[in-house]
Amino acid sequence: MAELKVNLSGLELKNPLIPASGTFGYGLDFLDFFDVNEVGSFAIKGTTLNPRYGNPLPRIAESPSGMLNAVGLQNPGVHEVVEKVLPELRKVYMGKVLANVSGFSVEEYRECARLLDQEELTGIIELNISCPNVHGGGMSFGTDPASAVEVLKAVKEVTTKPVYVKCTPQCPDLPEMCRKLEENGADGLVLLNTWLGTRLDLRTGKPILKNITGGVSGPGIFPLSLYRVYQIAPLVNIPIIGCGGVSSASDVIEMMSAGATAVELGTACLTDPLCVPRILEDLQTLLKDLGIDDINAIIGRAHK
Amino acid sequence: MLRAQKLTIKENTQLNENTFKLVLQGDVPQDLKPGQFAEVKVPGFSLGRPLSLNDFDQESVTFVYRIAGKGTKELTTLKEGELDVINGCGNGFTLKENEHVLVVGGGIGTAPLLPLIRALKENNCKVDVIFGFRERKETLFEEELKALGVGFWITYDSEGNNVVTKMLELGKEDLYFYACGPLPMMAALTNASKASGQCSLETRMGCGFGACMGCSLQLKERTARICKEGPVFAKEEIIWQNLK
Repeated sequence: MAELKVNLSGLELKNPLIPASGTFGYGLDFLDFFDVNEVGSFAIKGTTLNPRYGNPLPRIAESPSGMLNAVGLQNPGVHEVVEKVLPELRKVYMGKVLANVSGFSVEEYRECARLLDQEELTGIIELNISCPNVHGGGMSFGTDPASAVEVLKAVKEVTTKPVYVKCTPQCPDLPEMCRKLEENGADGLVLLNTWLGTRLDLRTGKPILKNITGGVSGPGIFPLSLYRVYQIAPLVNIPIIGCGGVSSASDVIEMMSAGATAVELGTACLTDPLCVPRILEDLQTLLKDLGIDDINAIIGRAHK
Repeated sequence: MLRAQKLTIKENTQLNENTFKLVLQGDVPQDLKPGQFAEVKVPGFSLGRPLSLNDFDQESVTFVYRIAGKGTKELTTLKEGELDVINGCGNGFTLKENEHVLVVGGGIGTAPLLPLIRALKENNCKVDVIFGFRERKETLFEEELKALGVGFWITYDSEGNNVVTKMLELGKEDLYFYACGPLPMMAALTNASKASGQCSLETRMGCGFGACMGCSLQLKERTARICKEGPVFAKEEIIWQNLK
């Protein structure tokens, strides 16, 4: 058996597989399918200060190799998450989570992060400045380095845990964004959130999604996200979590070869709720074939 | 309970122009209920197709489905082999006992009502059924209803009739009802009925088991995932314009 343990800013993960925010709820919806303790970690649903219903229906469309979502950060609000949801999770899950913090103002990000930082379950704060489905928040912080740095600094002031920033592919100058985030104290990067897209109804010719646009995810975007990880990895000295269309053991190996220390699995969790145990099994077979006995050996090998 | 499983195609046959019957065999959950559905994966398509249970027993599940787009069209071509299925999705209907009830279905929405009618009869309910279709050639389940020995009426849009006018004409608007069909039909029925009832809803879904929040609906007093807390809701809870 190959060694799968990886380390993210001092947090040891038993394997590099992390179900992505918004595709794993708060972990509880997967208990029917498998022991959620098998994951390396997982990112909780994007959490805001106040409860949010999100966008009107329909929120989902399909694409030939993936899907679009325009959920719009539906969540019960940080107070309910801290008081009710995480205590439930603690009964069944022994690991740590990436606490995904979202918001519409610097102050909201700060307060939400402060509350989640105090949770024993929180291993890493995942700063979501990349949600494409909300207006006046989310991604608007992630396309402008000055705004992103402002949010990051505010959150760093009130947190003790590593802060990873989840970036958006809609950022016009991602290398510059990532350099600025590292300079200003980001402990790691999550590359990347979904890609903005739409689908039209065949009969009416109108957008399927009530929100018009949604975030495109799934195997179809894998090469796009992989390239961005490949591009950014040599430019920064902080860990990267690769995210975008990862759905197989070979995708995991490619993403880590490009420079990621771990990967997030998004759409794969929705289309195959057993993807984590499946990929873990395949990963062992694949690593054996490749003659690799410690997965850390492949991190960034594309650049060596 | 929910189960992600592979099931074997036993039958996939055409019932009428746009409607097919799919029977899948295997180790199905033993606690399936009328009104529940399964996410059936069609090879080559990312998302599962949520198909309601038309019948089930200890070793098989049956779906009667309509061609709604490319995915369901592709599904009709699959005659053998295995399909990935997430089985046991949703809450299902809450069954009455020893009551006189009305079951109302429209189009392909009649499919999940067959096991419901059987279960209601087992619960010693007197069941009246009104099914509506656009035209005669789309009729489903007429033989099954005859065999079940329930009172039933079938309406056709093409003949200027529908399930709501039929209910009023028959004076059955005071009966507790169960409904599944097009949203405008269920909204009109909810309005016209003087009794309480349950409606089975649909929307575009992502995962089908509650993880993605893609089908979350604002009800009058709460927010609920159609795939998990639903698809069946009490009529009093539903705000119909939130589904448009």
